[in-house]
Amino acid sequence: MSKDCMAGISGTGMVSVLGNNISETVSNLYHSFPSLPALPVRVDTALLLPVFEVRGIVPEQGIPGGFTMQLLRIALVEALKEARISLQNLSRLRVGVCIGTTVACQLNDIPFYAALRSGGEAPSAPFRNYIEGCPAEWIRRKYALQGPALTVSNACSSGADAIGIGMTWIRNNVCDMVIAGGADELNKVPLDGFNALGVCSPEPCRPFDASRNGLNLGEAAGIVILENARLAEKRGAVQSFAAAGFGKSADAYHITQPDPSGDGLLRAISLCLNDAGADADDVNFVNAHGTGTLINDVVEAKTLSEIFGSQLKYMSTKSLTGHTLGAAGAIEFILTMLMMKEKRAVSSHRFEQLSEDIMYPPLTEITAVDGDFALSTSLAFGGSNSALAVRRLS
Amino acid sequence: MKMYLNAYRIFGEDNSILTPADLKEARDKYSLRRSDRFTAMAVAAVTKLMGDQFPDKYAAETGLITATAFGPHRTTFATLDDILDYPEDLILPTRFSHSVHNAAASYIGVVLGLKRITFALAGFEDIWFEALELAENMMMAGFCRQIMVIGIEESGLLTENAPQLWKERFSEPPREAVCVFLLSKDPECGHHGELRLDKSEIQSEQLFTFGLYRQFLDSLANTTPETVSVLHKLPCWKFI
Repeated sequence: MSKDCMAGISGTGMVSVLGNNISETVSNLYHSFPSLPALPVRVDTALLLPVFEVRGIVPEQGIPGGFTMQLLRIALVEALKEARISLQNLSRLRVGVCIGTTVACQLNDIPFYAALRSGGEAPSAPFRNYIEGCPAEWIRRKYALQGPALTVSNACSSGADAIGIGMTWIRNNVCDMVIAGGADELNKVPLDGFNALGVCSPEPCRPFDASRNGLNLGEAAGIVILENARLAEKRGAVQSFAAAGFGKSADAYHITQPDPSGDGLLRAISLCLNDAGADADDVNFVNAHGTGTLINDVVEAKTLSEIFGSQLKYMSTKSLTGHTLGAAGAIEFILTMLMMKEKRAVSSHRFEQLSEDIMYPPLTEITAVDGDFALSTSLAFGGSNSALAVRRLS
Repeated sequence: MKMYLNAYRIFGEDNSILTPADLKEARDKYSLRRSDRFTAMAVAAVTKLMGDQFPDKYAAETGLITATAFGPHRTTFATLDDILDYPEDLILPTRFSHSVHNAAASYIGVVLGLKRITFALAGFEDIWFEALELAENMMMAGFCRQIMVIGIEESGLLTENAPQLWKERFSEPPREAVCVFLLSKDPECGHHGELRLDKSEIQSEQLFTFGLYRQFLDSLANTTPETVSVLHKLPCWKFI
């Protein structure tokens, strides 16, 4: 693929419990004793479920929407800064925006709804915030951009899908530059919902472990700036990595459960490798979806084993960040890139014992990785499977 | 790359409407007993267009995009009812799982056996036009040869109150509608000719949900495989 149609990454921004920027994230990513999830402070709940909550953020006034948009703003500003983008740069280009989210797509403000259903006068601010806080459209308005603005709500694969779509916009020359990623806040509705589904762990999650018993929710935002190398070079922005492949499939099986055969994920990974012009041997490691739930982890591990065999190196970073829903695919793509940059893959924290239904263990210690190609996988409600490839640029 | 319109159906106030009997039929026929109304609307519209059988050779090459502004907000509010009326740990899991935006796409995928790309999009400005543009891009990128694009807007407490909540923006409640376009990159599948997307706006006094307008709807009614239909980019509703 020529440099002109490669979706190079010229800027990244990320905020999660690992840190409020990329530098803090890298430091904490390799910490021997990373933060443990705790009971939420900002979410009003009686449930005793530990979560990975971002603290210490001072909300900026004038931004519509909830905490999701504050997280998005932080990641966006950091990514634009690293890519050396000024507002003048943006106005001259075809800039697209593609953001994944779940919470920001729903008006789940409980006091607002209580007033509305009672027939009383509901406050208008939550309604206006909801509409004005549609993430991709907000970014397009904020910077007066001329390109497409799509908010993807594909449940837990939303962030990965947003980056995959952004990659195709660059390749197809639909856009000169794309702001892509995902953002989601901790919120009472999904917390109660995931609890009702019986998939939340009352303890710190243990992806792929024999004793795994569920996920911990988290919150985060991750943004990448995608553009071709020629454009980045003009501004002096450095591109060391590219979004190199995207594979997407649907199980057509069940609304919440993955297809136990793993066929959907297998097709997504195969399509991604084909899209990137790579094969299984090129894959240095896989940052797996790895929620810590019984079914997800066994289906994913089985599929990864079938494709990559005993040479498989994989981990789940959700034991460090929690499951950040619409942001997960985006931040895990960024974490994959950061691990390649550092040439060290993290372990799957709290994995101790291999269960009978999983063939190969995830990484159990920080491992040197010096390859040029890695994958990040995402699985979602509705049987939506995604795989994204990161490639080191020479 | 050219994009061809294989088949389409538009259900809404100004066209044919989906009746409660249509929704019941879809629920019964496709084992959707747990699904919400938003999903039943989408499935009923799609199956009225395609019939019971979607040929396997098409299913294997067909992607799916849903586009909506307010999404399944009735189901979201039903989940909030649970939270308000019951202890926090007693909300119904099926309500929550159906409140996600991509539930409808998941059901359609199961009913028609679609296993390619599937995206659920949300937006308030020009989401239908953007969804069609994305369909064109995905086919151009080789992710599929054919894509079904479905716009779904459901009326409910939220949309009915929109003019009271933001009168400057909503002159009337957003209308309920479902719009299904089956698009292809293959000319031989263009039973309704070629569909071109044009970002320039035009004047239209009659603007419907999804930014469809009278001139475009009239042109669709008279298509042949040789027709070229042009859809201009207009706001999703006339209240904007």
